[in-house]
Amino acid sequence: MEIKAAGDQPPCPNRRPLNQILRVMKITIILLTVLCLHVSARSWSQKVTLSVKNMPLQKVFTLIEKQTGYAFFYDLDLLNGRTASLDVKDAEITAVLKECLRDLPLDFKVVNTTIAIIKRQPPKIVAELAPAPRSETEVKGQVKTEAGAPMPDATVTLISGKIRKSIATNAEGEFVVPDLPKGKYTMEITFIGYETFRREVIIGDQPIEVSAILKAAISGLDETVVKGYYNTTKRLNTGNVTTVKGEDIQKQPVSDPILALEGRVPGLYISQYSGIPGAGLIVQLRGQNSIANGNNPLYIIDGVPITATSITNTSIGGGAVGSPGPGEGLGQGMSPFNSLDPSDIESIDILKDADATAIYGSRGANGVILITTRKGKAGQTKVDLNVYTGVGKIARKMNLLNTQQYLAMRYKGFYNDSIEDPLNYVPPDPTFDYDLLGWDTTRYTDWQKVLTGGTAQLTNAHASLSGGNANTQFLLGGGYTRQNTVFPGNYSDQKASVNANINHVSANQRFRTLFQAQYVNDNSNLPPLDLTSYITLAPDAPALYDVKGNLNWQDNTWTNPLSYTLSRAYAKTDNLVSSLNLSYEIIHGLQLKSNFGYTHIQMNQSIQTPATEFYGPPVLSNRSNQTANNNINSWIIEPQLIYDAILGQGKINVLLGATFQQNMQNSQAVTGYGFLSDALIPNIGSASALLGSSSYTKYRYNALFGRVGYNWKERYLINLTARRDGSSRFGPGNQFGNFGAIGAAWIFSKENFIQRGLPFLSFGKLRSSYGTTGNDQLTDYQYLSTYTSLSSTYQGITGLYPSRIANPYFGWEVVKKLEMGLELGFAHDRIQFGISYYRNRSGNQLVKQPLPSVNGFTSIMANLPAVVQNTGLELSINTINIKTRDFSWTSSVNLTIPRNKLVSFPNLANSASYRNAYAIGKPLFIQHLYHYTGVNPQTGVYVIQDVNKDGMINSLDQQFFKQIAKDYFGGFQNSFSYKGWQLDIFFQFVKQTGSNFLANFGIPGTFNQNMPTYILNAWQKPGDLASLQKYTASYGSAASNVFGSYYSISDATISDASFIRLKNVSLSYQVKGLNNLHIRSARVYLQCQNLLTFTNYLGLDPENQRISLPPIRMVTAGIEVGL
Amino acid sequence: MINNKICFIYSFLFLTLLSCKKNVEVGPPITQLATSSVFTDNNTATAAQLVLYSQMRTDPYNLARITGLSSDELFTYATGQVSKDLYANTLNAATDGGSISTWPVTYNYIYEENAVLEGIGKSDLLSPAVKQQLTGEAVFLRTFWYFYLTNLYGDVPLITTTDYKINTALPRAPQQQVYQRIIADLKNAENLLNSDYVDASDTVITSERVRPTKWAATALLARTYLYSKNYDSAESRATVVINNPIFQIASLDDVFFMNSSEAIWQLMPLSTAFAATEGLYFILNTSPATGNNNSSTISTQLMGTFEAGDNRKTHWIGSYTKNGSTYFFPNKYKDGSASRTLREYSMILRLAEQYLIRAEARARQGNISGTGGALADLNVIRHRAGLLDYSGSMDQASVIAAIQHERQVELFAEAHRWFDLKRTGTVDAVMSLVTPMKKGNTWSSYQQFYPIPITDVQNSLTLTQTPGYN
Repeated sequence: MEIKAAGDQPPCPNRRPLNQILRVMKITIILLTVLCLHVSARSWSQKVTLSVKNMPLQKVFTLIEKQTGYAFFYDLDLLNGRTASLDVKDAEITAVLKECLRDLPLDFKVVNTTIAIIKRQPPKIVAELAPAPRSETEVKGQVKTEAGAPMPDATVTLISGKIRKSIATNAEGEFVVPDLPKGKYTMEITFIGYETFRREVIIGDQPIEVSAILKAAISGLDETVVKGYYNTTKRLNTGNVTTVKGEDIQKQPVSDPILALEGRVPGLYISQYSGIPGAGLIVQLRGQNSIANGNNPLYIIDGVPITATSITNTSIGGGAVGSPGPGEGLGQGMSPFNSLDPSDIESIDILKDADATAIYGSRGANGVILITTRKGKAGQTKVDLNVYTGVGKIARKMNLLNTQQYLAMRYKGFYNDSIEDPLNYVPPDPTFDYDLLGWDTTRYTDWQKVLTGGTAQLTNAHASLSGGNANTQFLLGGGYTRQNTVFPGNYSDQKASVNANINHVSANQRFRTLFQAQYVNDNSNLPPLDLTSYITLAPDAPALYDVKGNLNWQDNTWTNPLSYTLSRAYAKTDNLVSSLNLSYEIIHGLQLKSNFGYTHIQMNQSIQTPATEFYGPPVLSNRSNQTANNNINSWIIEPQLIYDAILGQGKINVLLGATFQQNMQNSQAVTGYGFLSDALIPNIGSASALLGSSSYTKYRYNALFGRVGYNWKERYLINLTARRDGSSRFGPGNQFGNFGAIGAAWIFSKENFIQRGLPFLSFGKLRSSYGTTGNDQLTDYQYLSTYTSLSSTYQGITGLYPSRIANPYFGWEVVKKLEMGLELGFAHDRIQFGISYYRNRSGNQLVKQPLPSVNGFTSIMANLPAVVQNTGLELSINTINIKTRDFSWTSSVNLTIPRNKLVSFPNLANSASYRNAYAIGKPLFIQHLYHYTGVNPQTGVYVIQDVNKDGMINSLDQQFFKQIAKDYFGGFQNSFSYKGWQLDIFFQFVKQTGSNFLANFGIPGTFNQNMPTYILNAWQKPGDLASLQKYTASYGSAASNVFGSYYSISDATISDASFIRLKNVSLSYQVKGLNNLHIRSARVYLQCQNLLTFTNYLGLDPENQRISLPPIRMVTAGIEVGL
Repeated sequence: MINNKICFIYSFLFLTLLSCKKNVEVGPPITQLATSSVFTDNNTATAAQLVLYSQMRTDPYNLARITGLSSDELFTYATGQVSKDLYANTLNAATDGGSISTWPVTYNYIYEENAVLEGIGKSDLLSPAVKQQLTGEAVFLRTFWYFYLTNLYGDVPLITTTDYKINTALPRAPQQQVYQRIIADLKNAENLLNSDYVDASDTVITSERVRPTKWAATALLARTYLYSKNYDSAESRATVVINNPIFQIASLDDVFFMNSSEAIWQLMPLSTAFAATEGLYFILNTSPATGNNNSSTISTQLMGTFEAGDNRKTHWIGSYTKNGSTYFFPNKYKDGSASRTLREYSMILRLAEQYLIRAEARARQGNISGTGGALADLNVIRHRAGLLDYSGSMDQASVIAAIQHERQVELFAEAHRWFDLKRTGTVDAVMSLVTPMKKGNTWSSYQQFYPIPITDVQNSLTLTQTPGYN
C-alpha cells in the first residue's frame, strides 16, 4: 500500500515515502517498549536494585538474596561459571531473573520464598499461557463460537456471594479458574458482540470441565458498536453511538447509502439537494457547530477516511446536480457517496459525543460516520443473488395556475397597474408580453408533467460469493445499479461495483490480517441543468416542437426548455477504497496492529453544448465542450498497540496509536470553443480556442492518540481518550492541537439494591462524557498568500492574479462537548428506552469573515472569538410488542429536539461583518428580514413595518424575526413478521420552518411567471382583507417595488415546512421448501421509498425548499436467492 | 533496566517530536505561485499586471450597456430585474446594489493594482525599466477605475493599500478629493509610462496599441480636467495628444479596427476565436435576446437625434429585421459572433474624443472660432461623419450645446453620454423628459448615481449607501 501511495506522489527528491515508513517503524518499536514496561510493572512487588558487569551468576544471586530475603536453590554445574551484566533500579525480581537468564538455557521457579534455577523446558504455547497449576477445585473449559472457532479473550467470571473471579481465555479459547472454594457458582462468559453465556456450576471435590458456545448477540444491547479504533457493545458503551444495520439500508431502494440514514438516527439530519440521481446531500449531525466552515461529519470506510465534499469540478460544474462552488458548496455537485454501493454495507455507526469522537481529534467536531462493509464468514461457501427493479415518480407536485387562471392574473395585473397610476400606465406590449399578445392563449401545458413528470426506472443486481474456514474467510461481490431520471430524454446514472475481502487468522490465533477493497464505477449522464427550474413557465407558453418536429423557438420569444436536453453533462467516477489490517499478538493480551488505507477517486466530466441549443443560425462561440478530470489520492497509516488485561475485578483496555495521512487532490478543466460544427464538439482538439484551469491541494495530517478504558465488574466503566493533532491547513505555529475526552458509565441495574427494588428493570445505565474535538474543515492554503494563473492570455502571457487575502494567524476551531444519557431496559429488554442530552459549544470560530467588497475580496479566513452552542435531547424507544413463534411486532421511535444559540460574540454590535447576520442569544439560523404586517386593504399593497419608526423603510428595519430551523425531527418504524412474511413501515417526521415559494418565485402577475394556485387568495378590490397583495404586471408599480425591495426579503417568505413522510415500506416473503432445489434461501420483496408526504408546505417540496426536483417516489420489486 | 518512568517520558517526548511540523508541511500548491516570488521576476511581475487587461475585457461593453440603459442611448429586451431597473431609472439598494457587478469588480482591480505597487515597491530584483513601466501602468489603471467609480457612484472610498483592516474602516471620499487624487496619479503616470507601446517584455516596442502609454495618461488627464472644469489644462493636455503624429483621425469604418490610427489604448479580445466584446454582444443576428447580452437596441431618442446626412447613422448603427419588426443596434464594431478572423480590438481611449474635449474646453473659455477655436475641432469630427461645418448660432451656449450633441452621436455606446449629462448639470432636465418616456416613471435626481451593494454597507463600519437609496 505504501508503495502505491508513494507512486502517486509527484517526484520528490527527498525520498519522503521511505522516511515515512521508517518513521512508522520507529514509532511502533517505541510504543512497544513503552507498553512492555508497563506490563511488567503491574503484578509483582519485590524490588531489586543492581548494577553489575560480567559478574558470575552465583554472586548475583547472593546479592539478590540480600536485598529480598529470597533463597536460591541451584545446581552449581548448571551455572557453569556463567556471568551476567545488569543495570536495574527498583525492578521486579522475576524481571531481573528473566534478564539474567535470558541468553542461557536456564529457567527459574518461585515456590514461596525459594527460587529454584532449573534447565529450560522446551516452550509450550498452551502451557505458557494457561494460568497456574491445577488444584482440586478448579473449573476449566473451552469457549467456542457457533461456527466452532475457538474464542480467545472471552471473559470467564465465577460469582458466588462475595467471591468473584475473572479470567480471560487463551488463544485456544481455553481457560482454567483455579482455587475456588466449594459451593454453588454462577458462571458468566462474555465477549463483545456475543450473548452472555450463563450457567450454574457446583464446585465439589472433582474438577469441572465446561464447554461453552457463545452465540452472536441478537438482543440489541449486546450487539457490537464500532467506535473506530476499538469496538464495544451497546451495553458497555460509555459514549453515544447509533448503529444502522445493513439490512435496514438495503430495504431502501436508494442508490446513495447515506440517503438511507434519513430519519433513522437521532441527531442526524439529512436532506437531499434534489431528487436527481447522484444529487448532493446536506448532512448535519447535532446541528451547526461552525458559523461558516465545515459542518460535515468525518466519513470513514473500514478505517479509511473518505472525502465528504463533492468532487464535481467547481469550474465547469456538474450540470443538473449543480456546481459545488469553491470550498464547501451547500450540497451541490455530485454526492461523493453516490460512488458507494449500499449492498456492500454491513453497518453504519454514527459517533456523536466527545467520548466517541475525541479519538478522532481535529476531525471529529461534527461527529464521525463509520461505514463497515460486509465480510466473509466461516462456513459453507455461499452464493447470494439479489435483483430488484422498479419505477419512480416525483413525490410531490405543486398546484400551479392553469391558462385561464394565469391569463386572468396577468390581465388583472395590468388592470391594477392602470388604476394605480393611470398617467404612466403601459398596456400589454406586443413586443414583450407574448403570453398575452403573441402566443396562442388557448394552449395549456402542465410544465411539471412535461419536464418532471416522467417515470424513472431503478434496477439493481447484486451477487456475492463468500465462505471460508475458521482461519480464512473471503467474500467476493459485484453489483450493478441503473437509475434514470424523470426528465424528458435518455438520462441515467449507472453504477457497477466490485467488493472483495479476505480475512485470515494464523493457526495459533496470533497473527491476523484483513484485506479489503471496493471499487465502484459510476457513470452519470444528466441534462445541463435541473429542468425543474422551468416549471414556472406561463401555461400558455408555446409548443415544444413545431409542425416539422423541430424545437420550437416561437421567433425567439422564449427559451424552449427542451433546448437544454440537447446538451449533456457526463460524469464518470472511479472510486477505489482499499485497506489492509495486520495485527500480531505479541504476548497474551498485547496486540500490535497497523492499518494501511489507500483511496483513489477519479471523476472525468464533460459538458457538451451544441449550437442547436440556441435560437437562430448556429454561432461558433455558442458551441462548447467543457471537459474536466478530478483526482483524489489519499493514504493513511495507523500503527497501534492494544493491550487488554484483567485488572483487579475489572478489565482494562489500553490503546496507543499514531496516524499519518495525506490527501492529494488535483483537477484540470479545459473549455473548448469555436467548433465548426456540432458534430465536432466531442473532440476537444477541434476547438479553435481552449481555456484551461487546474487546481491542486495537498493536505497532511499527523496525530498521536491513546485510549484507556476500564470496566469494573461490568458495572462501572470509564473511558479516557486523547489525541494530539497536526494539520497542514493551518499556518506555521498554529498546526498542532490537543484534544481529549472522558466518558463514564454506571450500569446501575447490576447493583443488588436495584435488582431487588426494581425487578422489572432489566437494564439501566447512566452515562456521561465531556471533552473537546477540533475542526480543520476549511479550504486548504487559506493562510498562504499566492497568485493563481488566469486561464486566458494577454500579449501572449498568461496572467497571474492574487488568490485571496491571506491570514497566516488563524488556528483550530474547538468544540467542547458535554453529554448525559440514560438507557433503560424493561421486561427482559423487550422495551428499551434511551435519552441523551448534549451540549456542544464551539469557540474560536473559523470563518470566512465577510469584508466589504471595497477590499477587493469579500472575505478573509479568520478565527472569531464567538461561541456557538448546540443543545438537544435525543430520545429512542425500541419495543418488542409481540413475540410468538410465528408472529412478531417490533417498533422503534426516535426523536431529536435540537436547539442552536449564539452564546457569545464579543463586540458584536461593532463587528462590521456580523452585526447584521447574527444576534447573541438567537440561533444562527435567524434571518435578517423585514417584517411583513399585512396587505393594505385600500391599495392592495404589502405593508412592511417601519421598525425603527424613522418614517422610512430601509435596511435598518431589517431585524431578526424568524428563523429557518427544525423544532424536532425523527422517525417511527414498525416491523411485523408472520411466518415467512416480513413487513417494515418507516415514517420520517420533521417539524420545521423553511423558505416558501414566495422566496423563490417572481412577482405575481409579471410576464411568463406562473404561480401556485395559493396566489388566487390575493387582494382583488379595495376593502379586501387578504394576505397576498394585488397582482401587478409592471416592474415599476408600487406593488412590484414593495415585492422586489422588501417583501421578497421579509419574514413572509418563511413559513411552516413540516412534513411527515412515509419514507419506506418493505414487504418480503421468505419462500420455504426449496432445499431439494439446492437453494439455501429465497426471498421475494416489494420496497417503496418516499411513498406519501403529508405537509402544509407552500412550495414544491418541504425537504429541499427550493425550485429543484423533489425526491423520487420509488416502488420496486425484487428477489433474493441464496445458494 | 532503566527506570520505567524516565523511559516512558523519553518515549513520549520522542513521539511528540515525531508528530511534528515536517509531517504536516505541504508547501504552496503547485498550481499557484507564492506572492513573495511573483515580484522577484520580470516575467511574473508583468503577468500580475497584464492579468488586469484580460480581466477587463468585457468591462468597456458592460459600462456602455449599463450607462446606455440609464441614459437615453439604449433600450433593452433583457428581462433581468437589474436591467429593467437600470432602464426604468428605478434602481433600488436592496436588490440592484449587489447585482451591478461594477463595484466589487472594480475594487478587485484596485486591490490587484495596489498589490502590484506594493510587490514592486518591495522588490529589488526587477530591472529598472520594467519596474518603472509596471508602476506607471498600475498607477494609471487604478486611477482609470477611480474615474469610472466616481462617475458611477459619486463619492467613493479611495483604497490605496491591500490592508483589509485599513480599508474596511474607510468612508467614502468626496468626489472632489477623488478627482484630486486622479489628477495627481495621472500626472505621475505620465512621467512613468513609456511613450511607445511595449510588448510583454515591457521594454520592446510594438505596434500593438493594447497597453497604456504616456499618451493614454495624458488623454485621460484631459478628460478629467474637462470633467473637473479646469478647461485650460484640459485644452493643453488634449493638444498634446492631438499633436502627436501617431494618432490620426481614421475613416468611419476603420476607427475600431485593431491598432487603428485613432486608437490611444485598446484591449485585446479573449483569443483569435472571439470578436471584441462590443461586437459579440451588441450586434444582433437574431431578434433581441432576454439576457444581458444581445438584448440592447438604439433608443428612439438617439435614433432621432442624428442630423440628416450623418454617415454615423448608417455606418455605426446596424439593423435586423424579423417579422416586420426592425431592431437597430450599435454597430461601431463590425464583427460579431459569426466572425472567424479577428479584426477589431475594444477601444478604450481614442483621438476623436480628444478633439471634442479640446473643442469644449475652448468653447467654455470663450474661444469659439478661428484656427485655434472650438469650431475647428468640432468640424474635424463633423467632416469625418460626412457633415458640413457647423453652421448654427455662434454664441457660446449654442456652440457648447452643439459640442454636446456631437459627443452624443460620436461617442454613443462608449459610456460617455450618462457621464456627460451629469458633469454638465443637464441630467435632471434631460432625464425628467426621458424617464417618463422609457417606462412611465418619474425621474429622481438621486438616480444619477448607482446604489452600492447592501452587503458593503453592512460589512463596513463607515461605508454609507449612495444618498437617496434607503
